[in-house]
This record gives sequence, C-alpha cells and structure tokens, in this order.
Amino acid sequence: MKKIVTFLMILVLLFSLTACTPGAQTSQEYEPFDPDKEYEIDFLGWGGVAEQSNFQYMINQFMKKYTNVKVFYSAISDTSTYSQNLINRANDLPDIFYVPDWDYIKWADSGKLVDFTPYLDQEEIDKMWDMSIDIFRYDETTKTVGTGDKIYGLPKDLGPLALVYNKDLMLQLIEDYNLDVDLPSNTEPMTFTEFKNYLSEFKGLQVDGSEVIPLAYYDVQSAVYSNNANFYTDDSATTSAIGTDNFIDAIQFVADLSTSGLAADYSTSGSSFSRFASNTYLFTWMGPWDIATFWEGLSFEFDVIPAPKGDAEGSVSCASIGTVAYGVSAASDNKAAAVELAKYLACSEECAKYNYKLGQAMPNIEEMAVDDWVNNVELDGIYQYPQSKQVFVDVINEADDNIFGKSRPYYYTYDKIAYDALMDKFNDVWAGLKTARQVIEEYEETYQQELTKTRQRLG
Amino acid sequence: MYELDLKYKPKPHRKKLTDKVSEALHGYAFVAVPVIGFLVFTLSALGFSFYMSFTDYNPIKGTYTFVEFQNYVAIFKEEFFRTAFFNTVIMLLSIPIGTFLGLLLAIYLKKLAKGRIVLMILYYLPAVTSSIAIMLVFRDIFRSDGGLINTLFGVDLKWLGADPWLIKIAIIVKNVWASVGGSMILYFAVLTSVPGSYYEAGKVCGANAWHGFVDVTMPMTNATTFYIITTGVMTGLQNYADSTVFAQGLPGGRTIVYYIWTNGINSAQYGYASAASMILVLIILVITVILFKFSSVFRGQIK
Repeated sequence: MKKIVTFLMILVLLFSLTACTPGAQTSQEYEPFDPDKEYEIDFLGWGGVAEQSNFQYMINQFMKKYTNVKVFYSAISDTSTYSQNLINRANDLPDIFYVPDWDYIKWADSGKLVDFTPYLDQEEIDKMWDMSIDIFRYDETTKTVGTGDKIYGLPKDLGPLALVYNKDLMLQLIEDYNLDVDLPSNTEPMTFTEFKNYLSEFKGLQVDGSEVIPLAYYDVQSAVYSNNANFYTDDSATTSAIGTDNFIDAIQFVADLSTSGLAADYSTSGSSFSRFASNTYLFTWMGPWDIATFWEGLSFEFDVIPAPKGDAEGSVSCASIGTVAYGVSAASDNKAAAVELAKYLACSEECAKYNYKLGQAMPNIEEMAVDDWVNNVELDGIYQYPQSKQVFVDVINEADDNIFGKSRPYYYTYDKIAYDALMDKFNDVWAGLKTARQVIEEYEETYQQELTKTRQRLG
Repeated sequence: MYELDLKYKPKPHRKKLTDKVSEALHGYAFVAVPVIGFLVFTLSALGFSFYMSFTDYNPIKGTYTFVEFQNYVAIFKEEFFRTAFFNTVIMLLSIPIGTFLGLLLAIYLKKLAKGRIVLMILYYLPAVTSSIAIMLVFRDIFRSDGGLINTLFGVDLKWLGADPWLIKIAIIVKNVWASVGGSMILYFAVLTSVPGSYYEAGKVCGANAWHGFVDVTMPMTNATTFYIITTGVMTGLQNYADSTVFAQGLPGGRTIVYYIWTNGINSAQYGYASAASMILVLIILVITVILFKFSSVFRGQIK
C-alpha cells in the first residue's frame, strides 16, 4: 500500500512540476525580415466558415507575395473557446493570433507579445486611423491601455456599434398607418427622449398580421457612454463611477424601454438578428463586422443611425467600440515573418479593400474608409447597404462634435468579472423588479471591491 | 579422458505457474489498462488540481504563489457561488420526478396490449435526441412572447427572464421530459422479469392495485431506482449545458460547473477554478456516500 501511495505522490509531483514549467523564452529583440530565409509560421484565429475562407484567401495572397514564408492557418469557431485555448497555450503560443479587446490587457501585460513599435514606420502609422493604433498602446508603468509607447497589437478591425433599422418595413408602416414620421437622421443623433418618442410611433403596429416590436434591445454600454457617464472614473478602471445620476439614468432608460414595450424582453436579445430578419423588430444594433451577415440574411434594405445621446448635460452620441488585434508571440522563432503577416493583414491596402468588399470590416486605412468604403466604390446592389456607413466612420473619426466612440468597459480591466457581475445585478432592473438607483445603491460597494480585485490580478 | 564441456549449461528449471497465479496475472493485465488510465488521467489530474487550489496560478504569466486557503475562503464568500450551488441542487429535482414518471410509464406500457412498441419508441426518443437540440426547442416553448407554454395557458410569464424560479422550473420541466424515456426503458426491462404470480398471490390475499404497486413493484425495482438516482445525481451536479445553452447565462440557471468555467477557467484564475472544482468533488463524494449509506432503503422486500 505504501508503494502505491509513494508512486501516486511521485506521479502528482511530476505532473505538477511539468505543468508549471515556464515555456519558451520571450524576447523583444528586433528581428528584421530576411527575404532569403525560409519561414514557417502558425496563425490561430476564429470565425465561421466564411471568415476562415476569407482569411485563407488573404494568407494565400501573402504567401504569393512572400514566397519564403509558409503560413499554417487554423481557426476556432467560438470566441470563448478561442480565448480559453489561447490561455491554455500560454507557454506555447502560435506565432500570430487574434487578441480580442476583453483579453488585450492580459496579454499586453504578460510580456508574451511582440512590441510592434520598431517594426512600424511613421508612414504606415499615419495612414491608419489614430484610434486603430492608439487602442493597442500599453503603458507598463501605470498598467493602462490606450496610452504609452509600446504597441502590442495591430488592428484586425475596429467595431463601432450603430443602430440599424429595417428601411422597407419602416416605410411600409409609415404608409399603412399614415404616420407623420420621417426616416431617422443618419447625421444628427436623437436624444434619449426623442428616440423614445420615435419608437412610440411604431408601438403596437402590425405587418402581415404580426405585431412589430420597435426595438430589439438597447446597448447598455452605448447608453451609459452617451449619457455623459462611465463605468470607472478614468481609464485605469480602478474606481467606480456607477453611482452618478447620469449612469443611473442611462440604466433606467434602457430598462424603461423594455418595461414599456418599446423594446423586446431583454432575455430575447440573443436571437435579435433572426427576429430582425423576420420583420419582428424595427431597430437593432450592428457593427461593421455584421455587414456580410446582414447582406446574406436580410431580404430588405437596412440603414444605420448613430447611437442616441442622453438627456443629461454635456451628453454626446458615444457608441461602444469592439476591437480585435493581431498579436505576435515574443517567443516565436519566426517573429519577423509573423510581424510581416500581421502588418500585411492590418495595414495593407489590398487586405483593407478585400475586407470591406466582403463586408467583414471597415478599412483600417483612413483614406480608403472615407473615400471608398463610405462611397460604395466597387460595391453595388445590396452590397451597398447600409448606405449611411459614414455613421461608423464618424464614431471612429471623432471629427464631428456630435458623434464619438469608446472602447467597451472590459477592454480596460484584467478580466470581465466585475462587469459581468454588475450586469447580473441589472437583471432585476430590466425585468422592472427594482429601479436602477436601488440596485446601484445596494451594489456599488461590492462593484468597487470587484474592481479592486480585478486590478490586483493585473499586479 | 573426456574433457568436461564447460560451455554447456543446463537450462534452469522453469517453475511452472500455478493456475491460480496465472489466472491472477491475467486478471491484473486486464485490469491494468483502466487502472493506469485512472491514475494518469483522473487521479493525477485530481491531485494536480488539489495542489493548484492552494495557489494563485496565472496560466498567462506562468507565475504562482502558495496562497493557503485563500481561494476556498473567497469562494465561500462569493454570492455567485452560493447561488450556483443552490441552483444546482434545485435542478436535481428533475431526477426523482423523471424517475417516478418513468416507472409509471413502464407500468402503463407493460399493461398495454397494443401499440406498446410505438409508444415506447416515442417516449424514448428524447433520450437519443441531441440535448442541445432539446434545449433550443424548449427555449422556443418557454419564450415569453409567443412561446407555446404562455400561449397554451394564456399567461404572460417571463420563463427565460430575471425571475430565478421560473427559469429553474423551465429547466426542471425540460430535464424531466428528456430523462423520462431512459428511466422508462430501464424500469420496463425490470418489470418484464417480475413474475405475474406475485401480483396474483397478492390479489388472492385481497391486495388492490395500490398494494401491488407498493408491495411488489417498488421492492422489485428498487435496485434500478437506486442506479437511476445515483448516476442522475452525479451527472446533475456536473450540469453545465443548461446554464450556457438553455439559460444563456441567466443567474437563475447558473450551476456550479458554470461558475467554475466563467469565474475560474475563463478568467485565467486556475487556482480559484481548482478550489471550486475540489469543492464540487467533495459535494459529489458526500452525496454519493450518503446515497450508498441509505441504499438499504432501496433494498426493500416483497411483503
């Protein structure tokens, strides 16, 4: 019996030691791309069949251009599984891989990503959206994203959210019910009150015997940002800011939309696209990455408008922005080739054009987005929808005083635990069981503790 | 004179194994495969997880320090964990309900003269249907706007909403529907082997149908009941899909495994996840021991 116990102990110890052994050594030393050297690199991404085939095409183009580089591309369909897979492979990362906004700070802080700064020249940076580069900066001293000299990711795409509406259905309802309503403005954001009143015009109306629900759901982050409020006092995400009147009013605004029947029951938000496609919802939300899905899944014309701005003083339309980066492993033996591929996918004009023609992303190159994408160059028929793509550009550009954008709250924190727990608490508000003020007064202290714990995990 | 050939060495006499030893060796060889598998893939993983539960291992940074019982203390303080534990236990109610209904169905089918096979196939279909497909269909059935249940009963209940009880009731109903066919098949197999003379003897002594059920059917099926309940509880405590696919993360439908996944593994807190996993192992062990302890209840005798 003693022998068996000893054997088991050794087995467990061996397993423990091997599991905790650090992986390959990381290095930030600059490695120039050598056109005469043979490279083989692994690329891990995510996405459905269409995205995988698009990426394989772009990678093939890259390999034609750089014949000395062989890229082995693989993808995981589900983003959550992808994130987990990457964490499990932390000691043996692929040469190049996606880094989503909710994981960015984890990886940027780990020292396992290549700093792109020495690999980028000013000309390359200048032609990109400022936001697309700045968003992947990381300040190691203050442990804050969006600032600092180091750039640990290159943009796969920027994803500003916008409200999308079924234009055909809206025109039909206006005609059938003789409504005194114009199509919503794509340049001038409505206020929360105006948007509520606008939705009320369509409440209870029917098409083909079925009731139309004016709105699928309201994006909570856009509501908060657009009511001159935030989840934290600053981008270090260490101090709660959810106790402000503006924050509370934004949450209550979202809840009131559901409880008054202007928006669907929030629990159905998971199926919002299919119900938008079947004429059940008049409005829902979309990002540029959804465009291909909308082209394929909708049989009507759709268009976008900016997120409404809050009624609070100083409010502007401010949509939430989701982002994904290309990261390169600092432990890669083929770092130079992996960086070259990341730059090709993120910064090259051919990939930017290919991406927008496929409805996969708005161009990272500012000039192309403003001149070509917005004006539907090389796009025709349904591929021109949404016609008001300028809305997405305005969010990123921030040139207009009216329309802005801000990264999602969990981009600033080490993990999503504090945010998810807060959203859990709001379930009672969405259901009309409690007011936003009640929930926030009860929960703010715990939320602050969660933020502190999250920050501690960052170190 | 003859020289002695020193090169020649007689073969050592091989001791022939006795039948008993030979049989034992064969037995060990067969048993070795699952035992080694258990040691390598289960016990060592369990041991590693136990060790990790006392650390703050961060898989991304590859760093860890020994934090003693901090993870365990943090978990017990966590409201989310307590809710997940409560949810998991409540959802286990589908097991006795599904088992009992399975028994009733088996009795009914045994008495049925015609159409037994067709009905049996129909009742058993959920057991061979993809659980994910069942969840998606039941999500539509319980939908608050235009769902089958609300339309049929003329109510406006948000089954898939914030109410922590409605979502659990929906999950229990779905799981009962999905499990009843499996229980029915097992009970039916047992009931076909119960001699009809037992019931006839009871009738002679003045026993009615109820007495037949309580004094003959139940004692004869007790071993099956014990099997269904025990395996059901073990599986139920490890329920995850109901939280993600059916409840889609709603707090009222979150289970312990969902908690381990979201707050531990998915947040790169492997030490924390390990501690929560060890607590789950302990819960399963305790409940299993209790079930075995009271297994005598399931060893009823025909009166």
